[in-house]
Amino acid sequence: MITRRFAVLLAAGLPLPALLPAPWPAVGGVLFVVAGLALIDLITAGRLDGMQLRRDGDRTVWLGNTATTRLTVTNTAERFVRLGLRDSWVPSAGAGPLSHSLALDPGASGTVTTTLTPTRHGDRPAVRVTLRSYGPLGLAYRQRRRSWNAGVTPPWTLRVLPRFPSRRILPEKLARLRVMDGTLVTRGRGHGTEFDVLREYVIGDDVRSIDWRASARHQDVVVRTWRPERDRRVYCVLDTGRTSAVRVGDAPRLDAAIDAALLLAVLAARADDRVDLLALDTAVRARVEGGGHRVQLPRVIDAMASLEPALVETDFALLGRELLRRDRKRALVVIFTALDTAPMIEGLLPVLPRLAARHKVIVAGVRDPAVARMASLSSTPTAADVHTAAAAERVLFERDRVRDVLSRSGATVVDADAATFAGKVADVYLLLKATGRL
Amino acid sequence: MTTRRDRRWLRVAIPFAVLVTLITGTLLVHAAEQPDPADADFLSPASSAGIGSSKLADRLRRRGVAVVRETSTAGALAATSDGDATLLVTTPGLADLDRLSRFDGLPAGTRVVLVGPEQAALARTDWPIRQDGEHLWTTAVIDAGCADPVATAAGPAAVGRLRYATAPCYAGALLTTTWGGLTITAVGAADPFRNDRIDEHGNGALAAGLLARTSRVVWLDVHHRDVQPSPSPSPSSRSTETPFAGPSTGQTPRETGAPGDPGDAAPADRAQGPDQPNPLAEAFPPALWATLALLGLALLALAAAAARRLGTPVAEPLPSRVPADETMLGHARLYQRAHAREESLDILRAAARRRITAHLGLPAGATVEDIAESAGYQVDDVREVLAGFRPDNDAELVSAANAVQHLVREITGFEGDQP
Repeated sequence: MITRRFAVLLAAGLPLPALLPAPWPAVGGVLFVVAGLALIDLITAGRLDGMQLRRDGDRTVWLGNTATTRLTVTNTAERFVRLGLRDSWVPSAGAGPLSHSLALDPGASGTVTTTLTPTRHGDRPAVRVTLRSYGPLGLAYRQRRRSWNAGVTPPWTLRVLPRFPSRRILPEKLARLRVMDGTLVTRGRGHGTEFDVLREYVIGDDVRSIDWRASARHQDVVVRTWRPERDRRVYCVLDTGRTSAVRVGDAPRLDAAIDAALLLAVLAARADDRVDLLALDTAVRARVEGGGHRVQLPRVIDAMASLEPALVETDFALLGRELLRRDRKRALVVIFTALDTAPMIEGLLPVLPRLAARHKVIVAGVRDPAVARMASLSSTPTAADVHTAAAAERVLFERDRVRDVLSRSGATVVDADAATFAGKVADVYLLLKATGRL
Repeated sequence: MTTRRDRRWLRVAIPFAVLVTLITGTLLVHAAEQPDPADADFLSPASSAGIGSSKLADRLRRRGVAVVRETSTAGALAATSDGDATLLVTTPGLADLDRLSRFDGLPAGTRVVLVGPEQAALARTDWPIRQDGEHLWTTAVIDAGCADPVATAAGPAAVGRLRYATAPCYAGALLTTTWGGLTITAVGAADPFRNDRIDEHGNGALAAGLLARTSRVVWLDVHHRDVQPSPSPSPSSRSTETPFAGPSTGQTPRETGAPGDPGDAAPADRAQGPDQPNPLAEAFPPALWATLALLGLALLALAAAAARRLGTPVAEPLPSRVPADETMLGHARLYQRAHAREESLDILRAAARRRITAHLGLPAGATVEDIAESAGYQVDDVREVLAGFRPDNDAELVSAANAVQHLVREITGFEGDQP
């Protein structure tokens, strides 16, 4: 194929027909010379068959940060090659720069660096590397078909971990966890039911926690201290069905659920609880179970990154089958979903009593702040505003009803705006932990 | 929902499209039905077509009038030079009226009959004829209404398409005037002369009567613009450019008569005939064409170079764009469109009652009296707000909703967003 330089060379011959005595032969001559040069250029351009591509670099990145991947091209052919190269990623990977150029001697290799600033979480694949070999004059080039280019492209996927905006409230929640744990303040009995250690009585300790038998052995007054239970199970269930696809503010509802689940997982891991993850709609989309405390959390985060909302109705019967298996131990099941009437009443409610009998169930729904805003009238409302407020009140009423029904079936319901959602879920967890009801 | 709204413009567009099509179609059909003066059959004495005039020519011959057909203005001038002739100009818009109206043109005593001359044609002459108003869409049949013997004999005739100022006959559609020894008659429409209309009303009698006053009719039958060309710079052509000099030059155009040919052009030009090269091609040197061809090739090469991309675009699997409150806003618009004021207000009142009872710690089914008693308000006031009138218009709805909200805020003391 020809380059723009070919056209420029033709344009450079424009004055010749006017200057030379025979205009039409002059046109033919210009055309012949330029086409001949382009043909020579095409023949002398290096072959693309000898190119070998290799890629290395970042595999994971947090959303909002920047990752780099390096693409190494090795020329195994016997001729010098001038390459034009385009590294194509999906647009949401935010790849740049778009095109590179390389000049490679036989046996040499060159590296181009692609910077990636993803705009969405999930797996962002590298789609295709397109190669183009220019001739020495730059008049013509060789380029193979798209399928050939796709064939030589080394596969690469960048896993973009979800944004974790509730990271900033994590220290506060951890501090409350430590208070409960007794590392900052030791206050007699309470904050847990698990026996921790015996220590000497100091003034201020609750006299009810004095261990008289141990005091008799030690010749001193000894009190028992307690700490929260460890090794409880926290089971995060993410609903990736159609209700998770709608936008709350500017992000899908699933993003808020993932954020809250991340906070809960980090918190629970610090509290020495086991965190499991199940994401499902009509089928199980992600499952992280088992494994030790320390390795579990990265796996949970990794599994959450690849979740995408699916436009299907969530099958809560599948959730029931998963959680009511005989070998399941009692766990805190946190179901991240939306408190919409139909899916809750028809889907979750039938299985909820059996779930609540076996586990401690929290149903956490992300609320749209726009509904509450529209339910209150402005200072100078119009009739349309009143109708909107009525519709919003109806939504609020139905949500309250769903909340009541779910509570009556034995679930704890968390219903909060996207901004405070993660904090509210964490508070409920901490409360349950502090009162030993896990 | 969106497709229905997308198609709503069709409700406006379809009636207008039908109307526009109807009007355009009518105009097109009307224009197609109008006889074209450039048609070779139009009022030609040799044509028996509907728009031809062979019937009129036959009638004139039967009445002993000689019909001489001329296909150029110059030929007509030559044919009328003997005097005692009627010159029938069937296409005044195409004939060279300027030359006819010169003082040295037609001999005195010649009668000139113009068929439907428009103002544009009349402006080229000095004749005192002026069109009066625009032409009509169709030809109207009009009574004679004047003392002209021909018109009186003919009776009503289809002449009313163009009207002329100060014309007494046919309500202005037939004007006879004298100028410089000529008797000039302008007829407002071509219908009386056409084969397909000549038998209607008094058309035939009028046309024959106008033309049979002299023993000879010179029938000027031109169907291309027969205007004298501007003088050519070459002296040889100027020598032959004097068509009035003798009858010999006047006869030549009648033989050729090719459309588009100026008729009086130099014989040398005419000899080249159809082999004449395109004048535009000769106007520029071949170097220009060669340069243009090279420029075109360069642009083509530029397009070809830009056409091959270094890698095609990559598709993005996009997430859903549905906002969470879409259903709610849809309901709100439905209420509004259905004018469900009472239902909307009922919902707001029920929500306010729930909020107030929850705030005051009353049981769920508390009555208005209970609420008023607990909150310390007059029962009638609370009843007015929470179970009052039905709103009949939007203003009442807005004021009632405002009252409900104020009551809730006063009792609960809550100003911001509701929980």
